[in-house]
Amino acid sequence: MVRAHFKSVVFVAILIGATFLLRPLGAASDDDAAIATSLADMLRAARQVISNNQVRINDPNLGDKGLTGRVVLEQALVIYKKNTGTDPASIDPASRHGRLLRAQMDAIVEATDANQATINAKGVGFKGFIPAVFARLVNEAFENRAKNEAQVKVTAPEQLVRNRKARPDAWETDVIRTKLVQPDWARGEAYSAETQISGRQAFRMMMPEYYAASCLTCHGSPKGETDITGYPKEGGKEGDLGAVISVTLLK
Amino acid sequence: MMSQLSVRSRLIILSGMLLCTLIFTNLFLTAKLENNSRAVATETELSEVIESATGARIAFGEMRYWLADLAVSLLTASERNAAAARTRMDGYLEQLAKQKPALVAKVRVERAAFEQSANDAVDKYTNDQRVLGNSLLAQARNHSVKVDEYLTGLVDELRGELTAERQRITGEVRAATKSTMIADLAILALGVLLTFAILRSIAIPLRELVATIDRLSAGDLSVSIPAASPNEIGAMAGALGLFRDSLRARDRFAAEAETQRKTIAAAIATISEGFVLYDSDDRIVLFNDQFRAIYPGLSDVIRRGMGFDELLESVISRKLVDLGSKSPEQWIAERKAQHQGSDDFVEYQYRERYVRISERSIQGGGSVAIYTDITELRRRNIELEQARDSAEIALRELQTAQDRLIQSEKLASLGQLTAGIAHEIKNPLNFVNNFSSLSTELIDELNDLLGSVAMDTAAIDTKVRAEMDELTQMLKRNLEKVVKHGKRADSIVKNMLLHSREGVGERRPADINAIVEESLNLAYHGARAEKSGFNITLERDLDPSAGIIDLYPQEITRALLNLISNGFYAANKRKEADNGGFKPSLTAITKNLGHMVEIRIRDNGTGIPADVREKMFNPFFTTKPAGEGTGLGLSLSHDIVGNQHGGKIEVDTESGKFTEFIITLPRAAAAKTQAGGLN
Repeated sequence: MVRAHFKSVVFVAILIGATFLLRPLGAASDDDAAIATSLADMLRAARQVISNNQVRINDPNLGDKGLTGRVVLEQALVIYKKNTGTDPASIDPASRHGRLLRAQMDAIVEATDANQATINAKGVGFKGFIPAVFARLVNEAFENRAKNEAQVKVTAPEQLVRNRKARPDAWETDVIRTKLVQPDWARGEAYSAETQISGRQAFRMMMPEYYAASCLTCHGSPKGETDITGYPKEGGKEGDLGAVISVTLLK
Repeated sequence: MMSQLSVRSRLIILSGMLLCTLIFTNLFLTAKLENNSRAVATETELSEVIESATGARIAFGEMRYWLADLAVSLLTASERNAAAARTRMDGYLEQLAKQKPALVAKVRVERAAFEQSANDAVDKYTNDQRVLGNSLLAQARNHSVKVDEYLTGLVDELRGELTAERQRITGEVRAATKSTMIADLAILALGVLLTFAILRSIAIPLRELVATIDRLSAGDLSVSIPAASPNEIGAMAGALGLFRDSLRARDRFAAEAETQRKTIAAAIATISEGFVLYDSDDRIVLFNDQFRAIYPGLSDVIRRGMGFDELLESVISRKLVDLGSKSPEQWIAERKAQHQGSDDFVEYQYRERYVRISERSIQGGGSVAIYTDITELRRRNIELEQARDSAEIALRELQTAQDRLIQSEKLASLGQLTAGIAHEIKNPLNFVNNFSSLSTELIDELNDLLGSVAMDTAAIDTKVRAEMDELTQMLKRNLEKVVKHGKRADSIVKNMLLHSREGVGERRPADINAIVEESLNLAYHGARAEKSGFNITLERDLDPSAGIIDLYPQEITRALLNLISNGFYAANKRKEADNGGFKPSLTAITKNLGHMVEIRIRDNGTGIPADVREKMFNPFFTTKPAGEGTGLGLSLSHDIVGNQHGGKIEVDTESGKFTEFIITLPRAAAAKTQAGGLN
């Protein structure tokens, strides 16, 4: 189970831990788009914190890393503010944006605190607590907290998905195939649309993320060679579409 | 019965029987092998079915593993691996269905149920419905056990069939091997017996024939030939009989030929020349001892059968022949051409010997060569030629001497003529000299008379007197010149008489300087008279103390005249060669040496070459053109000085520069020669 857990999170963690070329969405006036973008930015910020602390987390000689949920959130907020120019405290907590962002920040603390035993394990090097795993745990925690209102998911083109949980659904598969991977699709541009999910109206946004050089350690060449997690490499090249952050806001 | 068959028939029977047994054995083995091949094919088919069943079982095991792994890891890679294993299993099942379709159908049903349960379980795990996933996975496990049982049971069943088939094949092979070995032994025994019987029927008469041939080869022509049977051996016995008869005839002919050969050899041995008979291949067939004696250097290699080429190469390699300017290859080629091409003779020098070789071709090929040692004959010819050459040289020398004698005879006649003429001239010259001297005295008397008349009468005019004096003085001077030149002419004539007179004259003391001076004048005037335009500078260094010597003046003068004349000739010759600028000169020197007196005559002429110096005192030797010299001058001079006066004459010369003759005369004469002159 542990091995499966690691494999499932490696892909997304490496993607998020790297420096992705990301263009902020231009539709700031649109509330749904702004909320979706904000949730994605917060997820990236928290993921960045875990990425920055990988060496510390994987130090077998160090016990308590001091990387509690509160610490991770504080560092994530600093990054969030720097990247967006917005302080989450300035967002009305009663608004939908404020409520969902609060739920996501709580999910970050929950996911971190729930894995303190793993993070602080002494005598173990690579612990598998990588940004991708962390992001999935945060998204699962967020889904529980924002049930029936919002969902955040990190998926990818089908042939690149390592963990079945990250498989795109039919709408996501279609968007990736017909939009995001098309040659004339502007690089980094997100796609959003109003659609139906289980009979409910929903706003969905897909934000592409591309392989950086650091991603290719596990996802690059030669294709088929086993990476550090034991999974065969995909043979990807720098700049290729590697992942998509999919945000759903139910109406 | 066997002996009546031919050898070929016997061998055909043997081969045929062996061949038949071989064919029978091969047919038997072929049948067994075909049976075995069918059994092996069946076994192969069973093995392939087992392989397919085993492959399907392994592939199902992999599929099961990857689906279980997928349920745990949720990795899509495991899902893909499970699908690949399923595809491989389908391939095996497809092969297996050809043999066991019913069983494969049951396996497919169970596997489909397994897949359904397993995939459902994975979906439940993916959706975090772990309990449901576990339940579904348990169902899948039941189906997988069924699939495994079907396939395992099939493999076990097939392996049993395979083992039974293999045991059947092994038994058949063992039985076939045993039968084959028995047949082989029987064939071997039959073959050995047949071979022995047939070979024996051939070998015994052959052995008798071989024994007969051995005796014939050993020369026993009295041997009896085995009886001829009606087969090949009988034919061989017949041929052997004919062969024995021919050998007997050959021996008879050989004996006759040997007798003839000995007769010929004896005849050839008596020939005094070397004799060699070559066959058509130019190999020595016959030769006698004289041939070997002519070539002692080849006696160890000359033999019958030796080729002509080998003979020539031995001659060259042992350096027996004088090649002259020819190379060995050229000499051999020339010799072979002569040997093959002509019926003439050739002569060669082999070391110190000369050999004449006469070669003749003989009818039917080959040739005969006669080698004659002509060394002695040649030596005599050479001696004869040398004697003839010597006689010719002597004849030529005799003719030359004769010519010179004629020349000297002519000169002698000229001398007599000169003496006669000089004598005739001397008488009128005496009148001239006497009357001119008398006239001079008469002039003096006339002057005295005229002087006394003048003083007595004074009748003659002074002027007339002066003219008369002048005329008488002039007349007197003229007469004195006539007297002076008359005496000179008288002296020349005397000398001519002196020189041409026969005999040595009388021996008396004489002034040597006067003799030298007189010789110089006589030679000079003689040369000028002989050749107009002749001129030379005469230098004298006469020692006043040279004094008087007791000698034959006429002879010494003759010797000096020869030396001086030669000096004039040489100096003048150099002048002619020099084309102007050169001044010929001749110097006469006398020197008192106490008991001896030395006279040197030196000219600056062409000098005398060394080869001439050796012969110049020989009689009749001259370098002058014919008619200009007799070759006797120096010879006579040497004789006069040496033999007549006991002195010596030497020469110092340098070719192209000068020649100096040095005469040394004792003051007291040796008086070796009696008056009467030279012979």
